Amino acid sequence: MRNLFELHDQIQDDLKFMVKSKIRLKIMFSLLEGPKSMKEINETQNLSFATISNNMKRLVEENLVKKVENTFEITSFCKLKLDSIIDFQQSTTFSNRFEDLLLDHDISGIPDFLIQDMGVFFDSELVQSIPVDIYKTHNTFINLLSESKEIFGVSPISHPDYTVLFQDLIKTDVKSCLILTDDIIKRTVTTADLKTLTGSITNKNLELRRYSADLKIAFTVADNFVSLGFFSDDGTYDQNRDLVSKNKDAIDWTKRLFDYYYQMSEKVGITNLAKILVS
Amino acid sequence: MFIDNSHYLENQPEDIKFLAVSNVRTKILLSLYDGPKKLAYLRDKTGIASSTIIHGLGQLENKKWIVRRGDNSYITSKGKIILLNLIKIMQKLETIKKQQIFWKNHNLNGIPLKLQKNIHMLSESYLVEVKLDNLEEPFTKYLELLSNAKNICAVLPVCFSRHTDAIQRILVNGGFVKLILDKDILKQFIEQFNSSDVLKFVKVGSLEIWVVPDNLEVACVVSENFASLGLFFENGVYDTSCLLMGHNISALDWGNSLFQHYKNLGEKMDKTAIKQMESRIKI
Repeated sequence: MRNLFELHDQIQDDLKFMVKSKIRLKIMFSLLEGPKSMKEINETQNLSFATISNNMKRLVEENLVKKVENTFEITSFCKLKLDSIIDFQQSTTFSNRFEDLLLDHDISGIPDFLIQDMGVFFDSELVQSIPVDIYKTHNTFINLLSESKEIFGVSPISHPDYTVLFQDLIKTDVKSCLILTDDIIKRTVTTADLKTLTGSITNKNLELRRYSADLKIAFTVADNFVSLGFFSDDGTYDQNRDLVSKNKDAIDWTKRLFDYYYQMSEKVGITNLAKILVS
Repeated sequence: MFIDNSHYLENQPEDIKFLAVSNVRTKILLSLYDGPKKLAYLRDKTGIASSTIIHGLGQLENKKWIVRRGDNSYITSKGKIILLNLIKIMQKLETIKKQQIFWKNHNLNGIPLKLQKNIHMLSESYLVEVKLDNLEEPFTKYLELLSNAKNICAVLPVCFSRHTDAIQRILVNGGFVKLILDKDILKQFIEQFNSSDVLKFVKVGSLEIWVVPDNLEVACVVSENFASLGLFFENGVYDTSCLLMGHNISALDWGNSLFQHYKNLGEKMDKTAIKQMESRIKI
C-alpha cells in the first residue's frame, strides 16, 4: 500500500471543501434532486438569499455548480464527488447501526476490498436469538433457505439440521455450491448415508468444495437473501446473531465474497475426500 | 443503487467531517492501517506532539473506532470499516483530481452509478490528450494499441472507418471481438465493414454483437492489456480530443464491468437477426 499520508496531503483540501460547510452541503444535496432557482433553494432550505449567493459563488468557482439561465444545476463532476461522500455516509450508517455486533466480533474473514463496500448492509437486520425464542437465528435461516432457488454457502460450522438440508438439496433442482472446512466435510460425511454421499459428489446441481485453511466467517447467499455469521473476538462462533439482508446490493456483495473463497477452495471428489477422511 | 438523498439531507456527514477537519485524527487512524501502534511511533511518524496525539486518540476512542490497551492503540472492527472507507474516498478524490479535465467537462450519464462509485479503480489510468503539434495523437495512440490487441470487448457509440479497419484486422488475425452497439452505429458499422465479412465472422463466432435499445453515451474498449474510456461533451458531441487509458488489472476490471453492464442491456444478434441483417444489406 502506497504512502497514505501522501495520499491524504493530495486530497485534504478537496475533502474539506466538500464537507466542512453545512450550507454548501445543503445546497449541493438540494440540487442533487434537480435544478433549482435561488428562490426555490431559499424556500426549501431555509437559507437567506445572501447566504445562498455567497456560497453559490464558491460552488460555481469550483465547477461544482453551473448556472443555466435562472436556475442552478450541479455538474457531473460534483455528482461524482457527492457520491463518494454518500458512499462513505452509507458505511458509517452501517457501522453505527451495528456497532454492538462489530465491537466484539471478528471481521478478518472479509478481505479489505469488500470491507470497503460493507455499507450495502446499512438496511439489513440483525436476527438475534432471544430468551423466549432461542432458536430464532437458526429458524429464520432455515425458513429463508426453503424459498431459495440457488444457494451458495461458506461454512466452518455444522448443525444436525444442515445434514438434513444437505440431503434435501441433492433431491431438488436447487443449484448450490458449498465450501466447507475439512472438519465440517468429515462431520457431514459421517452423518450422511452412503447414498447421499455418492449423490453429493456426482450431483450436477450441487458442488461441494473444500477450504483447507482456517475460516473466520460463515455465510450463505441465495437468490433471495444473504446471511452472515461471525466469530466473537474470543474465537467462538456466535450462533445467536446473524446479519440478514434481502437488499440486492448486499446479495451481490456476498456473491463477490463467495467468489473470493471459491478461488481459494478446491472441488471435493472421491480422491481428495478419502484424503480428508483419513487426515 | 439508489440512495435516498433526503436521508443525507437530514443527517449531515458528521463522521467524514470529523476526520476531514482534523489532520491529527486522520493521521492517527491512517497510521493504524497496518497494525497497532505505540504513542512514540505515532508521534515520530506524524510529527505531532504527544499531548495532541493523546487528545486525538481519546476522540477516536469515544467514536469506538480504536481501543487503547497499555501503550498500544488498536483499530476496532468498526474503526476498520471507517478507515478502509476513508482510504477509498481519498483514492476517489485523488483520481478525480488527477484526471479532472476528463471528469469535469463531460457527460457521465453513460457510466452506471455502481461504476462511478468505483472510479478509484482508474486511479492509475492516464489521460491521452490532443497536442497542438499532433491533433490526432489520442486517436493514433489508441489505434496503435487496438491494432496490437488480440481480443477486444468494446462499447462503441461512434464509428470511424480507421477504427472499423483496426477491428477487422483483429478478426482477420484470428482474434475475438465482442461489440456493444446501438442501432444507428450498427448500421454504420455494417456499411463501413465489408458486409459479407461481418456475417462470416458472426457465423464462425469470432465476432459477437449486442445491440442496445438506447443511444450509447460512453465509449470503452478493453483488450488483454489496456482499457480506454471516451466520453461525450454535455452538448452531445463526442470528444475526440481526450481519452482515459489504463493498463493495470483494476482498470481492465472496471472496463470489463462497464462492458458487462451494457451486454446485459443488449440483445445478441442471433441467426434470425443475422438473416434480417443480410436482407437489409442486400437491399
